Amino acid sequence: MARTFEQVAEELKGKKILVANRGIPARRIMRSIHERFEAEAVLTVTDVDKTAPYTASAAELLVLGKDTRAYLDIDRIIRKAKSLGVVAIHPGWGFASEDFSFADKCKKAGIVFIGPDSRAMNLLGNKVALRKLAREVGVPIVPGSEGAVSIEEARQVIKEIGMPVMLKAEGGGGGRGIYEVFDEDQLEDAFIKASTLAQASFGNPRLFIEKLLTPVRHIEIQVVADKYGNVFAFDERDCTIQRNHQKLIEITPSPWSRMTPELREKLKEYAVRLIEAVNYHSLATVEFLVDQEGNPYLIEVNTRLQVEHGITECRYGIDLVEEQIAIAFGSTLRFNKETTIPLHHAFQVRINCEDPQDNFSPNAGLITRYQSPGGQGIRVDSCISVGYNFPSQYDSAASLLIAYGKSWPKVLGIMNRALREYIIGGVKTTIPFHRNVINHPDFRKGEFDTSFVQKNPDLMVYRDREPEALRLSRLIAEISAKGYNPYVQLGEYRSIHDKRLGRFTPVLPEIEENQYDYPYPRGDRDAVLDYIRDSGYVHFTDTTPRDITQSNSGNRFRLAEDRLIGPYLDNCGFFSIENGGGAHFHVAMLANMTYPFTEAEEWNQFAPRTLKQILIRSTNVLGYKPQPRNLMRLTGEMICEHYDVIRCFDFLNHIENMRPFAEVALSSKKNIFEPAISLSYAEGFDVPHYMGVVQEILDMVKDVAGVSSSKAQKMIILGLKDMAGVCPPGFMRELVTALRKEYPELVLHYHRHYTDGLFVPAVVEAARAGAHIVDVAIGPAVRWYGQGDVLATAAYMEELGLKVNLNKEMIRKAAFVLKQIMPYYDRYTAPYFQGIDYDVVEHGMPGGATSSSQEGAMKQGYIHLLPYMLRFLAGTRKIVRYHDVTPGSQITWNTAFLAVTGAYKRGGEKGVRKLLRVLDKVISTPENKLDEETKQARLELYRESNDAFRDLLLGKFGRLPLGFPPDWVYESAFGEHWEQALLERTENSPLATLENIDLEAERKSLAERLGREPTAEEFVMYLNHPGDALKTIEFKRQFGDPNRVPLDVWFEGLKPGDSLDFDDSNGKPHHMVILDISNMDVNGMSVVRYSLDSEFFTYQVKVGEATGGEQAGIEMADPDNPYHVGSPSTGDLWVMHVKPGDRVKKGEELFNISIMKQEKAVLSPVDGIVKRVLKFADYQEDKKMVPVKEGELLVELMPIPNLCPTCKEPVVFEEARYCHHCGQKIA
Amino acid sequence: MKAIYLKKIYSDLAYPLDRSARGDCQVLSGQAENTDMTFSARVYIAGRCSSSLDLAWALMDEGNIHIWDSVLCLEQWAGRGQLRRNWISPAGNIYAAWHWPELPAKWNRLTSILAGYILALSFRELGIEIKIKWPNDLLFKGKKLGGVLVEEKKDKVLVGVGINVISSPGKKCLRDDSAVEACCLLEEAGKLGLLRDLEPVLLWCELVSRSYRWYEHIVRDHSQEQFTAAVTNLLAYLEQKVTVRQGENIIYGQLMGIDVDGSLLLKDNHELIRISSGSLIGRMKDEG
Repeated sequence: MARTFEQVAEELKGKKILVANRGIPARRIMRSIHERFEAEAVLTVTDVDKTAPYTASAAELLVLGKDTRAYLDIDRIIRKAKSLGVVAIHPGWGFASEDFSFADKCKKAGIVFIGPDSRAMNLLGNKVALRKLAREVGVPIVPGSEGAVSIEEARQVIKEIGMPVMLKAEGGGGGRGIYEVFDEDQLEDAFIKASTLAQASFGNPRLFIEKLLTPVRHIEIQVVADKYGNVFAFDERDCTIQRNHQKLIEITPSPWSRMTPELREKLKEYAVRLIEAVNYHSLATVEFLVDQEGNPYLIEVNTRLQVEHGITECRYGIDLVEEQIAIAFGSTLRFNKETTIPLHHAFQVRINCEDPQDNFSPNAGLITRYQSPGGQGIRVDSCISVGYNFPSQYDSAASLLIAYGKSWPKVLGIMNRALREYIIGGVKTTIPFHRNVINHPDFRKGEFDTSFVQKNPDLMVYRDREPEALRLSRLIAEISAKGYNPYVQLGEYRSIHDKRLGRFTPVLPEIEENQYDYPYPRGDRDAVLDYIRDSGYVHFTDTTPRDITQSNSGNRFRLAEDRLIGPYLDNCGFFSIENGGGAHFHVAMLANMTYPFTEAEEWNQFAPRTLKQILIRSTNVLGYKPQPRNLMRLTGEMICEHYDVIRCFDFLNHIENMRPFAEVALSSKKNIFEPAISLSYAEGFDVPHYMGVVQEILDMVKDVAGVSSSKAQKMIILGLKDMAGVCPPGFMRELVTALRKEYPELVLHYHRHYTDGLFVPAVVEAARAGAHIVDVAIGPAVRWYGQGDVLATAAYMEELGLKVNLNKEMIRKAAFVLKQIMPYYDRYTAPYFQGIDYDVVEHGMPGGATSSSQEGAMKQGYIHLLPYMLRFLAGTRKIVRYHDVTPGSQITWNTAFLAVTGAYKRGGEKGVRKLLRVLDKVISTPENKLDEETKQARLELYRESNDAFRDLLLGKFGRLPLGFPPDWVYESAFGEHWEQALLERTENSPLATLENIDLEAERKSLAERLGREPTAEEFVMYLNHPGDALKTIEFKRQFGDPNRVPLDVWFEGLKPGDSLDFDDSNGKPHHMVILDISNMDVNGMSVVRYSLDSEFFTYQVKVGEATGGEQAGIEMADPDNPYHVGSPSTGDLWVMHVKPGDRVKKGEELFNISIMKQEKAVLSPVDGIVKRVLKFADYQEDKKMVPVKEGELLVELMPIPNLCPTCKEPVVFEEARYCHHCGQKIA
Repeated sequence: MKAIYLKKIYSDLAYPLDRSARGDCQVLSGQAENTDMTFSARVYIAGRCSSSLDLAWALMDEGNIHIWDSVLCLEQWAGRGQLRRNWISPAGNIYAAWHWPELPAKWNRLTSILAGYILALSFRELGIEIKIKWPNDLLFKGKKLGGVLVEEKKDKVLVGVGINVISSPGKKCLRDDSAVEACCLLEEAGKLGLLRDLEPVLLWCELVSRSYRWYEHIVRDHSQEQFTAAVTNLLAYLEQKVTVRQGENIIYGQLMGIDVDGSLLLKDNHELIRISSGSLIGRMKDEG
């Protein structure tokens, strides 16, 4: 008897309806059960699903136990449902929804089955029966056999319909059990296989044959019918976007240009005809293939609710599930052509936990982040939430995302933004893949066929990256948990419990715009130089961001703080700001995790007026060894793009070494080339000597630029570089006076360090004598080893009648900002030994090396020998004579260190004193007056010297400025091979013999390591410092821009309760609060709980070594650490081949895991030494296997310690800067 | 398919065929090449070797063996089963190592079951009604006809296959705890006239080309659920009470099939037990 919907609703109120399903369909159906019927939803669950998020919608659970396939056990489900008093069962989709017996079994048990009756289900669901029916009622079908066929019959059919064909299992469906045959010769083979497989898969070996149509669209019609013959067909759903017959995207109405109203009506009419023919009731979907001419072919009818039903609901504003339930209880159909009108365009993308880039492989796991899209035009049917452990036992569908709106362009727009809003963390999903699909021009035009995904492999190309704020929050969590920042490479300089300097909240004074006119015409070399020559002022270069913080803060001064002081420095009236080069370039990558040229580019944005200056090391440019010409040129071009003034020095004043760089720099009218002479103060390094060097420079410039001598003088700046700070004021006066007299048009730029304490008098003397530009720094940054204070220097100049043109008010503001910054650097990065060291005029150790070398001696336990080392250094400078400038100064230092410690090992302090007596005598006595005994004894002086010293003697760094040292030095350093060494030594530039590198091969190798094309900057970084460049690139990928982390947090992290406001690289503000940092557990792990923008996160940080004992959890291998070797999957460890201490080669088998007779050999990813073995097994010995989990750490390796280049002994401690056997400095 | 003889001596590893045997084999390989014109994989044929797996790994290192190529030795002096168990290897049987591609991630755990299953299907196509003893032993009339061992290094996969063709180890030679007796094709299938020829090279080529088709089909078109359901249908002892040895432990239960991840499902009273390691010993004694 026909009833109204309202009557049914009244009847169902408070009744129990069972959903025999899980996941998305479970939640979807339970919604309809509640909304109008106010019935109670009961849901089947297996053990894995008991606590899934979607179960929250159920009033009661029907528990099926451990067997994950229990959803298929209809008898058991019905039995249990009966005992719970369930009145109806909805089968959902998938699982048992198309089991013909389900409806009958329900009927027998007295339960209403929400779906069609078994007879109709069978008539439409069986493909052969359906084809027969279609022929009878005149619905076109894909040409093929009338029913199941034999091979012979199949051949007959092929004669009629032609190739290619599909063999389809009678019992298959949903895209399964289809076998494509393109060649008739393969038919027999394929037939046997398909048949056996059909038997195995579906329990029915029978096959039928159909023509394989291509290219085609997949178009389907949703139909709903009641028990009284009322049928309604909805507009089509276009399900053409598929992969291996699995639908990925569904659209209604079809955006295809050939989907005409006539075709639509025809499809609907066919669908209704079929439904009426079998007296079907409930929901059904009639699926067609439509060829390019618009001819439809029926393929199958689905006799259940379908995954894509939601888009039809959105198009019409209806609820199909509600209608389906009502119909099952005898309600008359509420839809008809008058009242059920299409309102919207709608489409759905299936969000699955699959990795499209790995062949759509499913990936289960913990959902760490979940943020659902919303807003106008969005519907989300999802089964997941944050914290849900997505199970591996079932299909990978996580959510159905539907966009609906008034037009196709509008829904494309809605979907595009919704896919951007949608965040699912912890597992890979199809979200980025869908973004690519919906932005594909053919998709937007609606022009595609079922092979669209297969034909467009570029849909898989995307970078699946988390937002920068989230990545940075992990960096902050790591620093906070450790108490120190491991990336600054300063060891464990503080612990989590140490007192902090406190929060860094800088007060930034206002910079009044347009209050100051910068006088230098930046961008025009000749105009700038003319202005300097003619202005009558002394000019200044500020070195605060580079040399001074290199010398006093280990180069750790970051771009983050540059951003704070840069705008002030830009308005101080400095001729230039030195903001790059030297060791700064390398340390930017080594410790500051910053791209050096990106840093330079930013400088030009936040300090746009002032010229920028860089320091480069002739042949080595920005590295530590001579570079081939093509690399030098590539680096040079990038330098010229970002810096105006290029100061270039050679520690031997071998001018030829500067030539390739001069070629790059002089070719630009914007850049100012500043060749610098390295200065020392010692016998032989007098004014006439340096005048000769300057002439050489001018000759080289003249030659490279192709200009006259007088023009050459006018187009460069000459640098005077006293890196150690040893030249006294009087000498500088003399030198500058002579230079100004000889070369009146040449602009002079004086650079010296503070080490001897005579910075101000020396600089002022040089300026009085006519030096145009001097290097200075801002007061609060001035320490002992860099430059002196700008205001003090300027004040003394003015007292002596010189004119300066500085914006002193702005300098004070810069100083105020810097004053707030420097305490952090002083605490964590200051040198160990501090203070003025006048003895530098004897030992000549430059800049920051003054302290760091001596600190090295102390750390090695040789503090008592330090005075001897410095004396040896002073003496050696008189024998092997060059400048106190990197890298020469390091070579001399190492020589002294090795000689003194060597003599000490041989003869104690007595031996050292004897060595120094010999040295004193050698340098104070003319050769012809030396006794034979001393001549013999002096051969001891350099017997411990290292390769660098010997290379220097051979001329491998370039020509020694005062010629080769006496032959006995060679005899001492080279021993019996000394005569050979004399033959080999050369005065040619090392560039002469250096081969170009293969840039293309290097680029390929980098691209391979990155898995993408490198940027131009990354390539130059890599060519100069490959290891540290890769580290920085990887850091940036993992965490983002570290310069977004404030100064205090960078060094000290946060403590629980602290909050932090920071901006990401797009300028978006974020708020982070540390909630808790757990104590270290037995595995050495600490868990940081924090919130970021009101979302909660936990992050596990390794803060110490595992303490052993009871293992609370399993230690997992860090996938990014090549020294961690984990189990490749869950299984049994049956043989472990290594033990701690073993040395292993890359590719050597470490252990073997058995997974059901699949034996996986796990190979060492690197050369290394076994540090820890966490689990052990030897099955052949004791017949025992040890269960292991996927990703569990089983072997931890460590790098093979560096071998000392000199004595070849292993250097055991990673942090050692000197070999503990021989004292060799280790890079 | 194409047959290639090993020409080089790999000392301690493998020796080429004897000259006398080679004559026969040349004829055979001609036939082998006729077995399947569309499948271009190669079979390397060696005489005595330590084990076909060892030889295949060595050829892999030399870069000489491509995906779907296989190595067939006529005799092994150090044949191995799983966990380095000894595999008795007199001449006349199949001792092969077959190079597979790395399987898609979701199939990886099922590799060894897949290997056993497709070989079983190929045998069945030849009229030999093979059952599978979990995870992948090949049983014929309840006796072990062959075994499969998958070895994986990095992304390289070798499937080791041993088939008893003309002889099988007697009861005395088997391990004390071995589950079932062994049998060979000659005494069982041979008598029945089910196979035309019991020549190892030809039989192996036949198995490879058939199994390859099954592989393609299953990995391309099957879900794991369908696949494991299909394997369950071929399992030995299905629904019978069985014993599984896991190290020291013995587990009893009714064999229900295999789960989607390939592990064995046993039912003990009302409890379902999933087993992913251990040896299936066979039917419980008390059940006869």
